[in-house]
Amino acid sequence: MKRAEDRRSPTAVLHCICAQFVNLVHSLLLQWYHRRVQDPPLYAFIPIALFFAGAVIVPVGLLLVARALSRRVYGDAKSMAYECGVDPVGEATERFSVRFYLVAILFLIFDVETVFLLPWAILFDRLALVGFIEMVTFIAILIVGYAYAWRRGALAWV
Amino acid sequence: MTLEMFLITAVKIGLVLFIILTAVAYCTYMERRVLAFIQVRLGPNRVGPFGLLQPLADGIKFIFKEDVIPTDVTRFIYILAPITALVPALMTFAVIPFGDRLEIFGKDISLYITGFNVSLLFVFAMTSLGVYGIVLAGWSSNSKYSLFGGLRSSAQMISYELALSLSIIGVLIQVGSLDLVKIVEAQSGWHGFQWNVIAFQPIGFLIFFIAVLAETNRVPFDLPEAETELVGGFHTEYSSMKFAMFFMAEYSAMITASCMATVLFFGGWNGPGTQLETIGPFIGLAWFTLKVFLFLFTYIWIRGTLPRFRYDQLMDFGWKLLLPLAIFNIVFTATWKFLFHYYDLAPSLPAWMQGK
Repeated sequence: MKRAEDRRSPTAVLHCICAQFVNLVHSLLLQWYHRRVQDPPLYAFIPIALFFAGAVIVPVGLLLVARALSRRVYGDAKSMAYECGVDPVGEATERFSVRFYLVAILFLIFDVETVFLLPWAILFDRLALVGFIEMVTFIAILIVGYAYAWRRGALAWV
Repeated sequence: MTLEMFLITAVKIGLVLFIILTAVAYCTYMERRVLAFIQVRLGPNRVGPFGLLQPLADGIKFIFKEDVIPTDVTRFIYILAPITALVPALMTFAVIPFGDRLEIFGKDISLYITGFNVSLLFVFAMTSLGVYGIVLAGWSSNSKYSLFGGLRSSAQMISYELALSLSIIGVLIQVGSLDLVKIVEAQSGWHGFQWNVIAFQPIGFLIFFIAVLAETNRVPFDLPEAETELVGGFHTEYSSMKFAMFFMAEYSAMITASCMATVLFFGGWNGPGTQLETIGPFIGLAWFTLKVFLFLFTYIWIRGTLPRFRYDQLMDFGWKLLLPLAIFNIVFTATWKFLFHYYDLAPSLPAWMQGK
C-alpha cells in the first residue's frame, strides 16, 4: 500500500526540501541577526567592514590612477627579471634551506603556547592560585621542550 | 545602526585614512631629513619651504612613473601582493584609540573608529597578515633576489612575532582586558606612574620595541631589503605605484607600532591637562600624537645609529634571547601581581608599586 507522499514526483520533493532549507537558513540568519548583530559584540564590527572597504579602495584606486596616467614602453631586456644586468640563470623558484621550514614549525609550536597564555592572562585575577600554578607548570613543560630544541640545534642558524 | 551613526563612522574612517596616508608621506620626509642631519647633510630642502612639499612631489612622480611588469612573474599574485601588504597595515587603525570621547555640536563622539572587547587581538591578527604581502611578492616575482628577500622576511617576521605577542602578556596580566580603550583607561592619571612601562613592564616594553623593529623590517633588522646583498629584497621587481605601496605599508606599520607602544605601555592619550573641561580631549589627542611622533623619531634615530645584523645573529637574538626573556617577563609579572596584588604581601608599599 502506497502512501500519498510517495506519489509525488522527484522534482516536487526536491523543490519542497529546497524551500524548507531556504526557510531554515533565512530564519536562522534572522535569529542570528537579532541575537548577535543588534547586540554590542558584533555591532562594533560594522565599522570594521566599512573601514575594510575604505582600505581596499585606497590601494586599488591608486593602482588604477597610476595605470591610467603612466606611460609604458615595452622591451625585452626591460621585462627580464633583475640579476645584476646579466641574463637570469635557471629558475628563480629553486630549492632553499630547510631551516626556513624548521623556523616555521617552531613558530607554530610557540604560537599555540601564546594562544593558551592569552585567556589565562585576561582571567588572571579570577583564576587566582589554581591558574597561577597551572600556568607555571605549563611554562615549565614548555621550557623543557625549548631547551631540548636548543640542545638539538634546532635554533642554531648556519 | 542609525543613519546618523553610519555617517559619523564614515566621516571618521575617511578622516583617519586621509591622516594616516598623509602621515605616511611625511614620515618619509622626516626620515630623510633626520637621517640627513644625523649624517651632517641637509636632505631634501628644495621643494617648497624646508622641502615640505617633497612627499607631494614624490607621490606625483610615483603616479607618473612607468610600471614595469617583468614577463616571468605570476601576474595575478604579483599585482595582488602590494594590495595584500597595504590593506592589513591600514586596517589596524580601525581600532586604535587616538583619544577619549569628545563633544562636538552637542554630539558625543569617540576618537576611535570602533572598539570592542578583543581589539588588541584584532591588531595582532592584522599585523600578522602583513607577512603575506611580502611572501607573495617574493615568490611571484620569479627573481632570486625577491625570493630570498621574501624568505628571509617571513622567517624573521614569524620569529619575532613570538617575542612580540609574548611581551604583551605582562600588560594583559596587569590590565585584565584585551580592549585597547580599557588598557588606556587602566593607565589613567596625569602623572606617568600608572603607565605600564613604569609599573611594571619595562622588560615587556623593551622586548616589544625590539620585536616591532624586526616586524617592520627596520634597521638593524632590515635584512629582507639589505641593499648590499639582495638589491631590493622582496620588492626588487616592483616599480611605480606598486613599489610605493610596499613603502606605504612599511611606514603605516611603523605608525601602527608606535601607536601600539603608546597605547600599551605609555598611557595612550593620558597626560597633564586631559582632565580639563572641553579642551581636555584635544590635549589628550595632542599627547597621543606627541608620543607617537617620539616613537617614530626613535625609529629613525636607531636607523641612523646602528649597523645591520648578520642573519644568524638576528635569528639567535630572536630565538635565544628575546623569547626566553619574554617568558621570564611573564613569570615575573605573574608572580609579582600574585604576591602583591592578590595576596597583599606588602600593604605598606605605595599603590603604584604594587601594580594596583
